[in-house]
Amino acid sequence: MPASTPVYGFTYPCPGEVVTPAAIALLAGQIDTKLSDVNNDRTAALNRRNRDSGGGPTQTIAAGVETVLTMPSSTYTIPGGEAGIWYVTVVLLPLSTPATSNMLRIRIMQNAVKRTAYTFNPETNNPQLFSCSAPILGAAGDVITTSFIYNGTGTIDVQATMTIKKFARLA
Amino acid sequence: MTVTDLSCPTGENYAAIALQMQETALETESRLIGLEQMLRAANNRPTILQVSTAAITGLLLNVEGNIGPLGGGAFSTPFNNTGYAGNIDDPSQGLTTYLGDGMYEIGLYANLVASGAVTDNTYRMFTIAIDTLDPTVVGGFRRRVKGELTLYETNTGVGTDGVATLETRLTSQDQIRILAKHGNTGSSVNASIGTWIWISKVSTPDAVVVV
Repeated sequence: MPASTPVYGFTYPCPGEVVTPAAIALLAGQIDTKLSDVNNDRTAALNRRNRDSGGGPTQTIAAGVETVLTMPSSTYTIPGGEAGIWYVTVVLLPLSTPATSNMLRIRIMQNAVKRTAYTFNPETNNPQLFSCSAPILGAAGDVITTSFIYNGTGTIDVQATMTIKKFARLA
Repeated sequence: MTVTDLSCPTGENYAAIALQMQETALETESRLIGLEQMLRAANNRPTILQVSTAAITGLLLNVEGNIGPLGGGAFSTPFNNTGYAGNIDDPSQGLTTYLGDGMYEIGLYANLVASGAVTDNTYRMFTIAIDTLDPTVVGGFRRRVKGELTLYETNTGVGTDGVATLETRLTSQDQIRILAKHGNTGSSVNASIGTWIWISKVSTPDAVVVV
């Protein structure tokens, strides 16, 4: 009866057993698979997932309407095989001044559920660039988006950029 | 011995094939374990996420209040790959002793809402503070560094959301404080359910280089 190594379970025949080609192939395949795993770890360690996207195109938002920003730079879908902790930072850039405004807020959403937010008070109707961050415990395919709302009158033009880096993986 | 030193059995030592395979299996495993552990450590930075499962109420005017688990808030831990079993801000559990000296990123998100009357344009302060042992006071601590954000209440019915972050070196003498403060004279302030706190180790101290 074959024996195996304690951690990875590499299988080898015991002395006295007939060594078959299949036994040799099995061990070679097990080692090859593990080497492939380790190589994947190495690739991931040397190529940590990051993204920094520029803003645009500009989106015009109506007052009082919570709006999911649709520009490519304001959203990210976690790639396959990349489940883990992602650190997301969104920068909101107002590009126009509405007739009046007394509140601007962005929310970082994961599958349409709020994770974190930032509420800005432009009391003198002077919207400024501001940012919000969030750690996202994400699975492959999870969609991270940015929603925006402002309180006032008229419309406001905005752009957003989303910077993402992977902190940790789940396996 | 390296992998290339492994000898190949021949017709003269056929009986040694089983022994050779055993040696190959064990030798390969012993060489890969350390490498795999090192790579996994690089891919899985020690990270803890905690989120409040109930509102933290009664923050008093102009008083720094604790809005982390240390202040009595109920928190769950959606992610923890460290093996540390305590809360991020609990000094009695020794987070920094457990995770070791190094560079850390620490974060706080909270939504601060007035419990009653809202005082327009008053400040809301979100703070991550690091207190460290004070050598001049027996058993005392002093504030060493903090990451802080001050925002102003918009009085539009949504409270004030803010994120404070801090990147700093932590040692076993440090304690993390998760704090909030406000100037809402109309009422006390609550931190809504869903306050997030997080910590992630960036590196060990020997990797911190000042150029």
